Amino acid sequence: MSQPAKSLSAALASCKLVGFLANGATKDNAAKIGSSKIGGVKPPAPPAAGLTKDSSAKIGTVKPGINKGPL
Amino acid sequence: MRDSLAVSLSEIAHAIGEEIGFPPSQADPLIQHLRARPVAPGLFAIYTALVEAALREDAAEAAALAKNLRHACEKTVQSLRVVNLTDDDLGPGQVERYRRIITGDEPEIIIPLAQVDEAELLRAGRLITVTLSLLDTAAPEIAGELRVLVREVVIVHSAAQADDSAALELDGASSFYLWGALLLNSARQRGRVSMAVTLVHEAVHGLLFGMSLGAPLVENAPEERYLSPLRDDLRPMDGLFHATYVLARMIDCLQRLLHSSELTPDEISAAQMALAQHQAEYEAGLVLVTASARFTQIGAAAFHAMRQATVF
Repeated sequence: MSQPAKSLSAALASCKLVGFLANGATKDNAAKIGSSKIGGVKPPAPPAAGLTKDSSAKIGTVKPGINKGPL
Repeated sequence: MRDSLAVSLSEIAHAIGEEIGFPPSQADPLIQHLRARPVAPGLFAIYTALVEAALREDAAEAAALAKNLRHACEKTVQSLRVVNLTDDDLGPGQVERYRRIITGDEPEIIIPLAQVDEAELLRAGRLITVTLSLLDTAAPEIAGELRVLVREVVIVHSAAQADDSAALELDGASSFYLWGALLLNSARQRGRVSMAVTLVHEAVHGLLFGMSLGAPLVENAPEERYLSPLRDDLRPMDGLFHATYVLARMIDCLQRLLHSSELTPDEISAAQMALAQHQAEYEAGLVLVTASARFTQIGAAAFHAMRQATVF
């Protein structure tokens, strides 16, 4: 009888992975992107209205999970 | 970073090496090589792709990447090199990996990335050479740090279509997963001052990546978003921390350039304008980070050191 295939992901769970979260499921904190121009003239609309540059209010969830974290 | 990567590769070789054609007997010489000297930043890209392939149980892809890893690890990088965004310059399959690392995790934002023509690559290379020479004279500590942190400058073309409101036109970019490399939109760099500041900007991201081994510098949840002093879109607090820290070093670079006698009158004007702008951005970032960041231990130490060194 043949052995069942070894689960690579399960085997990796005990390995130190550089830059991956402890559970190995997702990467953590990746690119930093400097940009002075978005799409010609107009940036993507923020998920909440009424903010000004002076506001430091937290904004609701944009995308849970992976934090790519560009500037 | 290299030591952490070596430890990880050793553990991967022992855990799944037989399944992916990367047994410890083959991994160990490469790991010794990795510990001994700088390696091409692309090695980190291949490593990341290999782990991702293994996590999705793709043994064939992981095996192919392990083979690539062996080839990449054998390449020693002696000094900073300026390259195009091509597989010829970066290695087989690397353009797609670099592109995915820089753009892949944020599908809501499109970042156009393409190679440049030979004339632009040559112009950018010359500008980087004279900029490093300027820094050697005017700010030797910064030049030295740059040469340690940056092994590869990838020149790219990045131009958004005017009618594409979701596209982000890149000035420069760096990633933990491309440690030692930075991407540079050379069309935005017309002189030594802007090139110096851009190189410092991206190199200092690398410094922060190295300090934390890629982990966030704050405990704020990634989905918490804040207005950024540097970008028009809303950013997580870790991005704001990076931005503020990087701005401090950009200001330091500009001040050193202005205190030297190496700049032309036009460059002095450009540096003074950039300094005023970045000081305002730094102050804005400082207010936001001070008010809302919940620092990790490494983040707190880095932020404290930045404040101690910052007398603007």
